[in-house]
Amino acid sequence: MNKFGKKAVALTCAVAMSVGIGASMTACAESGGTIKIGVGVYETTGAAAIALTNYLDALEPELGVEFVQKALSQTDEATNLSAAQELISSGCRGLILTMDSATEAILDECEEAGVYVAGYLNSYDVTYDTVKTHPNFLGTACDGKNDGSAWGASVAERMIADGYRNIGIVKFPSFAFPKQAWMDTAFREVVAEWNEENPDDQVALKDTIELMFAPLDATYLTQNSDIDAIFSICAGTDFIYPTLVANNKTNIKLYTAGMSVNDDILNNFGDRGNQCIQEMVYCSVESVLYPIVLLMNKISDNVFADQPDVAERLDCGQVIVQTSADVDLIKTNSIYYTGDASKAMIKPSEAKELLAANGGTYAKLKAAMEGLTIEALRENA
Amino acid sequence: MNKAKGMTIIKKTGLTIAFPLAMFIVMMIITAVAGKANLYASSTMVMQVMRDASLTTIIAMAIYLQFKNGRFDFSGGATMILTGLIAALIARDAGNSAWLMLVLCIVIGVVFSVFTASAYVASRVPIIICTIAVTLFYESLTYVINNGAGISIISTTSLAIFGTVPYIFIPLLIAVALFIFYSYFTTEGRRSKLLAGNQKIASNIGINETKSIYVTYIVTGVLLGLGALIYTSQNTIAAQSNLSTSSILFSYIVPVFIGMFLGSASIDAIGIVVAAVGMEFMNYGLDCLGVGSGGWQQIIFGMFMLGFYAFSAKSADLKAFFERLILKTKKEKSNA
Amino acid sequence: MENTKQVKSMPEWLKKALGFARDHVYDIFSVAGLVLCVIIFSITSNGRLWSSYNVGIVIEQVTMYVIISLGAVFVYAMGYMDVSLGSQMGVYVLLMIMIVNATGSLLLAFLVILAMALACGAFNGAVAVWLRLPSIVTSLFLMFIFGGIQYLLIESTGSNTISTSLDMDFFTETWVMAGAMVLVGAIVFYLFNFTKLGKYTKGIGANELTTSQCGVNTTKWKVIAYMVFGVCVAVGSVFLLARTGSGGRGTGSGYAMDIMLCLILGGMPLSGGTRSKVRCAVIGSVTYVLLSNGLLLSGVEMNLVNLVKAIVFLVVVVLSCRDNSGYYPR
Repeated sequence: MNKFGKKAVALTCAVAMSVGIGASMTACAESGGTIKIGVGVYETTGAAAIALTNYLDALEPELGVEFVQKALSQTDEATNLSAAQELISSGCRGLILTMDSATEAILDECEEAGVYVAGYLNSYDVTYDTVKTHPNFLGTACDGKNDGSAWGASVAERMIADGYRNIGIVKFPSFAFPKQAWMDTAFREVVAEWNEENPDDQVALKDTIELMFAPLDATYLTQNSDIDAIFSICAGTDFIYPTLVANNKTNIKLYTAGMSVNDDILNNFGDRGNQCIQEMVYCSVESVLYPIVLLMNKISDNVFADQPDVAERLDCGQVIVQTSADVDLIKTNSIYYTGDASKAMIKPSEAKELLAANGGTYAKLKAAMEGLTIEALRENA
Repeated sequence: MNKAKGMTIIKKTGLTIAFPLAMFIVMMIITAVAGKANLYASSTMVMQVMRDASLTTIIAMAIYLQFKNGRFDFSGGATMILTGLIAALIARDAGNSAWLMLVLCIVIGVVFSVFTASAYVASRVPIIICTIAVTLFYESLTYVINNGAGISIISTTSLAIFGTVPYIFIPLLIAVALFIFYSYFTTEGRRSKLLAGNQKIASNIGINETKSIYVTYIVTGVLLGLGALIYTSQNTIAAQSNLSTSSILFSYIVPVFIGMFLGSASIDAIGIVVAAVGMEFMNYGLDCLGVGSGGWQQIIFGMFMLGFYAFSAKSADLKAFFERLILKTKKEKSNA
Repeated sequence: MENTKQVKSMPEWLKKALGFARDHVYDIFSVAGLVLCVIIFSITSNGRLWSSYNVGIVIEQVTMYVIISLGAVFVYAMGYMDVSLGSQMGVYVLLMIMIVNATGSLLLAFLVILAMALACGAFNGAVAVWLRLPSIVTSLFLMFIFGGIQYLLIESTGSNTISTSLDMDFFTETWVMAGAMVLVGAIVFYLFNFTKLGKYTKGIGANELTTSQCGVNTTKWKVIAYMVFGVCVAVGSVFLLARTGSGGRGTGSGYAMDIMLCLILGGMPLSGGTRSKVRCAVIGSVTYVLLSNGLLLSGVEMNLVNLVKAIVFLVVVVLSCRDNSGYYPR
């Protein structure tokens, strides 16, 4: 066979292969009554992503909805706009977005297409004041509390009670995460109050440092060799813990925002292993129900009677992990660790009761979201 | 004769250590002015430099090995990430044995490198394009393996020992020894320069390039495996996409170019080691000054690279200029 | 003997067609890659690929890639590459926003970034020659420096993202984007195929020494080629800003690799030379955008998208970039 013939055969094989791949991966034809909702996620891998995917898969038959997930970029606005456009083009009538990126452009696009947007794990720090009255923006479920000051204050109380007297504070840059400064302030206020009341038992606080999205330098530990604990407002398990391990400083206790289900972390939590990490906190995936319910109500033209006129930035419950027992509970009873939708705090079969069509109210939805706490996990156990 | 030889050795040694020594002194002065000298000249600095330079050296050697053979391989970063991920998963499930992980990293690194070589040989596609395709493929596998969850073993001390001093020197010494042995004591290694210099002539005089490709990639696979061992012991491995692993390549390519220049005074492997050490002296100094990351760090790094390359490119011209100046000064003195 | 008889008995038109196919086999396969994508995704997306909305968004997404890839043709035709593209675009977008918000003048903003892009082009071209370095190294300098500048710029605003107050809807009109692509494409096509610039850049890619010894000032033409690329980057940045109206610390990240992938998918040889074609930029950019668009419309699972893209990329490059000269291509 001559060269050209070989290439023709190769091309034919490629066509056949590609058609085969495409055919095997094609989704089932969309049924007439199914609502399609696009979910733009900034994290496509890891326990949280798996839990979300499995929860959405379980919700689909219960709610009569089809979810289409698309990866967003944590850095590039145009990529996120393209993602939103492609979701709209694929037939989505609602979008759930986890990033405040190209928001205004996306809302303009949605307005033209008659598509609605709601947020998940997203406080819309940059654009909320602009978009909260946009007709196509329905509201957002924050990653825990919009104002985390209460948590910051509670961590301060706990660290003082646990006996730590030389504390470092680490956060992300203010321009990127302006609200982390509120937690820092709340923490410092509690410490200041303690110091005023206990002149003989002072707590020394180091200046807050900002990590430029890179792990903590070892130089910080050398410069502050007397610290016995760190309050991390950024993701400490990723940005601080590795430095502590690398420099044999796991005797410094870490109280951090964020959560890791990595066994490497969980085996060194509380009174286990090197006992470095003492507190973690996360917002459970069930809070995705807030944007889902709002979107489904709006799409089916059946909005809650008690829904506020201005799109709300909803505080959701936080699962605060403080002991090894909490870790054990999460390992056995949470969808976050197991990825098992039947372990969700709000079961898929219960989710449809939140819809307006089934007698749900905004107040009930809000209460359900605020109730996603460690206490709820204990009750479910 | 012996005196001349001795002087040559001293001169070459001096030139070799000039870069890291100069970098240390400069950063020492700068940190002293900023009141951070005690932070810079500390045991933490020594440990961190040794730790970071070891990884930098190994990866730089893996990249350089392909350069020497006239190939620009994009897939080094992806190979390393995927190797580390698989090896760590198996070693963790097999009882957290670091030595098992060492062996697995080498074996898996070689397997993936041989796959890359086979893809290149079979496809006959330009090496950059071929390795970009392979990189995309390897990155996509990180989404599939372990459900895309990646892995973190940094605090499993029994498994991550090769990420810490002194165990980190074991993979480093193996890598340097292998690199030197391959480059200077094997036929394929010595032939690499011929192939890089003129591929067609080298092939026409009988050098089997297919064999050379496979042997080089096997050696690169060992180096990348050793790099994966250290990298996985120090960092969380996450799923990658859209050629994000090329950023690993571009981070470690700088010591390669610097090492090539410095290696002219001795041998290239030594050049890369001293280049890595010098760069880590600089990085640590910037950390002490509070510009170890962020905007200023990138600008300083870019300017440093530009300055270094300008100097190295013009070093012959500078040398000739100073020689002329010295000669002129001597003439003027003798005339006077 | 028998084959000769068969060839002789073939109709004339068929002989000509086969001859054309043999001479343009690489071009055919890069176009075939695009056609394949269109056919497959038309089927697997249940026709959504051809909805007016989807065609509109594909044009919107493709515009920036096409304009920049067209400029990149000159650089890649010389066998060079530029990894600083993404960082440059990030800075240009932020600067445009700041200047527009301060002065209200888009023209002024464009002229500023154009001047910067031309300077970067000149830098890339001239410094590589002066320092006798591979182009990738000089573009690495710029990547680090511009990356740092982008970070400092956004930090100075005190916000993670900044937006422009100017209405740039004009630049998102389909006819404007299509017109821009056609205009830039026509100019690049003319420059690349009918002027010394195109001739010499291809010559530099084919054999720089020979080209230089033929009396061509290769340094001068390298600088001009990079500057033309710079113009396209500046224009592309305007369309990028027009799409989102905002910029942040990561705007533009990854675009250098995206443009490289676009050109490779279009059949552009990374070693440059006479096989470089302007159409590689257009074909490759459209293929690249369609891959992402089509895979989502076809319902491919998110975590499998990268695997499918990798396989498609591999198939297309094997068919369009294979070298059978007997030596392993570098």
